Amino acid sequence: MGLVDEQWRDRLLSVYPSLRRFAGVVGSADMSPDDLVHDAIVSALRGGGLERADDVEAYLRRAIVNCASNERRRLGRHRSAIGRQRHGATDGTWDAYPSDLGHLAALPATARAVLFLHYVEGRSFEEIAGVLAMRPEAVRQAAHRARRKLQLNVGGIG
Amino acid sequence: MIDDDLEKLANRGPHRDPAEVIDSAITTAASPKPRVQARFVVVSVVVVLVAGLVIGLASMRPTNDQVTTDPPVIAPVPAPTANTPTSTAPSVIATEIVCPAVEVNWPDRADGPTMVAATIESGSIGGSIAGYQLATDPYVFLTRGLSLEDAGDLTAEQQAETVPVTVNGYDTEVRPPATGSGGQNVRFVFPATASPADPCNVWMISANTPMDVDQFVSLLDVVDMELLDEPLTQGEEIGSGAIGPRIDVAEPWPIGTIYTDREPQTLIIDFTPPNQDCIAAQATATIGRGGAILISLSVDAERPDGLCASGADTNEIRIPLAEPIGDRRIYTSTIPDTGGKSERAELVADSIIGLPTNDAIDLIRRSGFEVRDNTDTDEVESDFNPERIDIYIVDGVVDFAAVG
Repeated sequence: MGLVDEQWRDRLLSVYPSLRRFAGVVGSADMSPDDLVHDAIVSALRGGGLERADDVEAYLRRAIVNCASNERRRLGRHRSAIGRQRHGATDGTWDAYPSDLGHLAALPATARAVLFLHYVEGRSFEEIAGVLAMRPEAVRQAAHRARRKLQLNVGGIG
Repeated sequence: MIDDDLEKLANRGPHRDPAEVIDSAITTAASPKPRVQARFVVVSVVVVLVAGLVIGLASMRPTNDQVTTDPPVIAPVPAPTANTPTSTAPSVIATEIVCPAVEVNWPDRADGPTMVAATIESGSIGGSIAGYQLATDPYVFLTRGLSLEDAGDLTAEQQAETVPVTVNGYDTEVRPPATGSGGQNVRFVFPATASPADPCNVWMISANTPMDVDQFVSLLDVVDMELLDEPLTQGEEIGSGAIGPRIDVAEPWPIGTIYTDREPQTLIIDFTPPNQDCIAAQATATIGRGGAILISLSVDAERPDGLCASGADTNEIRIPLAEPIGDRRIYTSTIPDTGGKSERAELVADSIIGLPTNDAIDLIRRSGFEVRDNTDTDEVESDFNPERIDIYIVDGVVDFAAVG
């Protein structure tokens, strides 16, 4: 998209608060939610996908998950390298989340996205599958794994 | 409460002005892409990594004429040590391993099979995985994506395309893309095997279709290590044993020590019973697609005193096997430390996936849980009940199950 007219800008502004909340959940602690939304919009605009998207918000949410996953992998490689340099140090000092959110933050971006859409936005697994372009079974499985990890780590999800 | 925690994450700050962010994104998107730089970075990274791989794998990598879909070569898995008991350390290890990705160009874009080699190394989040065995059947994400400068939209053909691959002897077809247009990567997941004890393994992947120009393959995250034993729970039973009367309410119980060398083709396990007056217990050994043996032990803690034979603090169960142990790896089913009912429900839920509906429902009820068929339920509301197991049926078989 070479030119973004006012109509597009207004559409992006209207969905921004929702996208920003979503980015806050799926993004790593190292990345600002605003930056994540920014990068997702850039990616979408450059790819021209927004013009063809039936649901702009859903499209950008997928882009946010992708950006967050890529960032997470990049950070993971960085952390692994740091870990090797520390000869196996295991203090996990990069975890910048408050301690009570640490287990949630440790989940993959997709898992956090599923939990957020299900528990906060009240969407069904089938709806989530549509938003994240996943199969419903995969959504269920992601939710199941996430809940199981949280139950094992913090004794329940409330 | 999980929704409270999610809200905290959703509202974490600091907040920027939305208009400023959007205008900045529009400006950035309209500016020329640093294609040369990106391509240089990609090519540099790939060249460096591939060069290292080529050197390291020169003796392993076949020529084009030699390329086959034979199972790839990985480091051998050590057999249980003879004459010593097998450790029964918990096989659930960590929530996730992040492996440093090695991006590898497909070496041959000609028609026909293409062999790709990559090195995967166990990394860590919080270091909890370091030094542990990787056990069996981790799930590895194979990312088949576009190079960075071309990342963005995927064509319909790319989204619909699947790639049959053979990974460590498993013929599988990579799944349809989990991410569609707008994504940088197409992610596939398939079972693979990591070699215990060696944190840095060589993986060989043979794909039956060539990749296009500017595409690369990288092996990324090894995820969900707790799923390692899940395939095994669906395996074929190759032996069982019991002591005491038949148990009615099976409660998964931790196994103490496994002896592999006392008797031929027989596993002997010991355990510390929950109640010295009640030692009714049964154990089963199943064998999974990875060739490993999974031993599960259940006791009946509800059985009144006097109905069971009195026992010592430690009890043993013999499990004659239908086939030799050989060099098979042996694992114990995971028992949560707390032993709480919801944790047991998780085990039951895991164990029924793949069972016919009636068998699964029967097993759930015999295990002391309620059951709800959620196959056609729209789960907008959550009414979590740790004593209920929700099941989802596809073609008469449990496709998914979770604690309610």
